[in-house]
Amino acid sequence: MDFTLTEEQLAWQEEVREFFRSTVSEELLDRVEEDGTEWDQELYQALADKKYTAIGIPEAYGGMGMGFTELAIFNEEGARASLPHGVSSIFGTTCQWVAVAVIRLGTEEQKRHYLPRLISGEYRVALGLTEPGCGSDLAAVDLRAVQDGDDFILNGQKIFNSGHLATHLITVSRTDPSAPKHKGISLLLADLRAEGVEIYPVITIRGWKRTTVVFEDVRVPKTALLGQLNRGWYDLMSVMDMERSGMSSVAEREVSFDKILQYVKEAKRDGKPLAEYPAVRSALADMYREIVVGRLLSQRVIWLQATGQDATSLASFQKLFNSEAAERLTLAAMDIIGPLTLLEWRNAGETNKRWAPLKGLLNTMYKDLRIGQIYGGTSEIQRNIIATRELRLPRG
Amino acid sequence: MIDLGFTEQQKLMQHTIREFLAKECPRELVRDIEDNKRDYSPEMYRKMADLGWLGLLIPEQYGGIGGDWVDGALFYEEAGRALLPGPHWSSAVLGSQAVLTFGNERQREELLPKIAEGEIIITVALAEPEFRCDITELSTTAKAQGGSYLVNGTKIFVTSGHLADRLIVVARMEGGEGKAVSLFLVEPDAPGVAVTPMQTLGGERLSEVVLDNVRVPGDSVLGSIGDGEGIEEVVDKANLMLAAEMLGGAQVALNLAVEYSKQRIAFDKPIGAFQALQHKMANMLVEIECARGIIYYAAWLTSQGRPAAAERAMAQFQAGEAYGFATREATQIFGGVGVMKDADITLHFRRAKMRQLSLAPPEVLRERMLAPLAI
Ligand SMILES: Cc1cc2nc3c(=O)[nH]c(=O)nc-3n(C[C@H](O)[C@H](O)[C@H](O)COP(=O)(O)OP(=O)(O)OC[C@H]3O[C@@H](n4cnc5c(N)ncnc54)[C@H](O)[C@@H]3O)c2cc1C
Repeated sequence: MDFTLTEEQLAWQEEVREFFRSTVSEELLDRVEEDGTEWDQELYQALADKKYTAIGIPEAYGGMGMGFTELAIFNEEGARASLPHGVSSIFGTTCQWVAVAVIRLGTEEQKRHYLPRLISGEYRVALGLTEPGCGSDLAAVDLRAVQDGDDFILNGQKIFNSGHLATHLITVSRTDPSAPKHKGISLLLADLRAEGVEIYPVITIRGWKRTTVVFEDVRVPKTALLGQLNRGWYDLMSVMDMERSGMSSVAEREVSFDKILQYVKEAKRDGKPLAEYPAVRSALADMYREIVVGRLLSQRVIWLQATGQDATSLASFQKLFNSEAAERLTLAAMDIIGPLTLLEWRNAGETNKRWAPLKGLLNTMYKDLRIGQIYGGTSEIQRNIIATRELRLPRG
Repeated sequence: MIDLGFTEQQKLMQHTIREFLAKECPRELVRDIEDNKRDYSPEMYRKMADLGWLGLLIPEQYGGIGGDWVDGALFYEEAGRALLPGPHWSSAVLGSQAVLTFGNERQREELLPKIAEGEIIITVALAEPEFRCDITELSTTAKAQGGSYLVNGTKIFVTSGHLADRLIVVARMEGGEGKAVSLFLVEPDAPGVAVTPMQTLGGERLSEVVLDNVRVPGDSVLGSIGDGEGIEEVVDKANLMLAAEMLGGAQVALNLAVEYSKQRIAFDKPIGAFQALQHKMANMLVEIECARGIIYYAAWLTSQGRPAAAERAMAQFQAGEAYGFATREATQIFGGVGVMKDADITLHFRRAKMRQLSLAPPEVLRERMLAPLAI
């Protein structure tokens, strides 16, 4: 056994850490938090200019050809720098997911067309899975794509995505409504600038913007079909093996924990630092243990992926554990710091900003509390996967 | 003989309140207030005064209807269901009980009828930035000077502070008069007082009140100098009403989840058919019923004048657990739509944490529970 990174990996870690340190400033973070976009175009372009958009792409296609460990290092460092979620989600979908899908499923022509543009930042892709009628049950998608000459004509909706930040939406669409559920689905890389596309904002409880993308008789050329017609479900499953360590969520939690720790060392109650109270110490120990344990789960996912082993179950373990541990940490920290955490920071008045501890960190974490347990496969779905796939229990 | 039910009169009151709030306190109003479009609804407040509800806990001789804490809990359970906004709790519960408990006859006669009629809004300014329930540690001070007092300090989390016509400021005596805690009636527009509302997680504003050499005349001491220590018990009783409010909210969260899970289809079934979700909802109901039991027990004990600090602590704690648990699980059951701002469940989700953190801190509540065990 060996839990250490190689010299090259350490150097890579240092490089990206430095990159994020110099590009993700405190002011930038405050701004994107207040305006709810979670986006900064310059920052995204900086990623592209550095070719970080190509780290997971094989060298043969103009990429850096790095492995899962290096990808995870990158994602972790981004999270450690609090890379805005809009940026990380567009980046992940575009560069670590769609780019890989294009390589695996695309025609030569598609590779020539899409890859350079995905790498350069010209094309930014949002993830179009969820619809009003289905989320967990993805195979029930109902966005209709009907063939018409050289095009598909799309009608329907995709919700909760980052459509406002993207040029394209990777849409899981229904191309054969008469076939069984899993056998009539296709993947289309739809251009959001096409006629008939309308994008409406939806705001999360935290104030973060998501969008509903409505397609009304939108023409998408057949050249935008990724993989085989009506085989989209299976293609999708085959390219779902992107980096799934969740190390970025562990890193985010670690950053929050460090801030909380700093706070309880300084803040006093009855003349004594909070950190000296037994109840506080026991809560801190729980948080810390759950970070270490969660990190090790994530590390095992990386190792399995890097060595070509099946990481499906471990990826579910870590997703389940880490998203629920984040909830426990948030609730415990709010009890420790107390009612000051109720104060809004984002878009709030001066008095709020003066009193809100850690720039409203816990207020925001509270609002986001369940999001980690809902998107990217809910906790219930993760448990189902673990029970049926890993424990081989009969399906309910 | 044991009787765990409501009286006919209480059932009628419950029905009337529910109908009233369904009509007068629609979601749009709650949302407007949340979004800072307005502060509260004076019209609704007036109507509640007409129905006697601002004087719910005020004796008849002072213009109230003389209800007890069980009536109060019943009212607050409904308020929690409707997410009733406005200064009712601050003024008609906390403020009125402070005046009733500490005020002299002149002050009671002057203030209580006005509170009951909604003519004035009164609130208590107790908490301070570092305050965790040890009242002898207050940093706001008062100093006798001539026939009046000079009050200095910063209060935070003053509920309805920006709406109040009168603040009951809790301060520690400085110099010559020991550490005794006293209560001062302060007008928010008096020189040296600055009230600033702050936005909070729960949508309602809480105020910072800065007192800079505020001169309070001798006859504006509520009761006598040194009377103030009992304010904690008054706050604790008032917080029992918040527990009842949380109970109502938790019940709504469960109802919303049950309704949604019957309608939402995934994998060709209503999601309510999945046992993973059924168990969540069953757990919610049990938590809620535990809260209901202890809240009404504590309210009854309090009304009877029996010692009930431990039971009130349990009621508040349990209510916090139930509301927190119910709203988190309900949100999970809603999936993505549950974390979008315009979903009703988000109002309860935020309110739940807001309320729980407005109570005494968990460690203090736990100590109160242990007190009767003398360990
Ligand atoms: C902040 C945010 C960002 C998002 N970003 C994107 C994005 O970029 N692109 C995109 O396509 N989507 C996105 N989503 C959508 C997200 O992936 C879905 O919300 C998620 O998959 C859950 O689907 P749903 O909301 O339809 O809930 P549903 O699937 O309707 O689930 C409702 C409830 O039923 C439970 N349930 C469902 N099936 C079962 C079962 N078999 N057993 C037990 N319980 C079950 C669920 O766990 C949940 O509790 C985002 C969501 C959020 C909140």
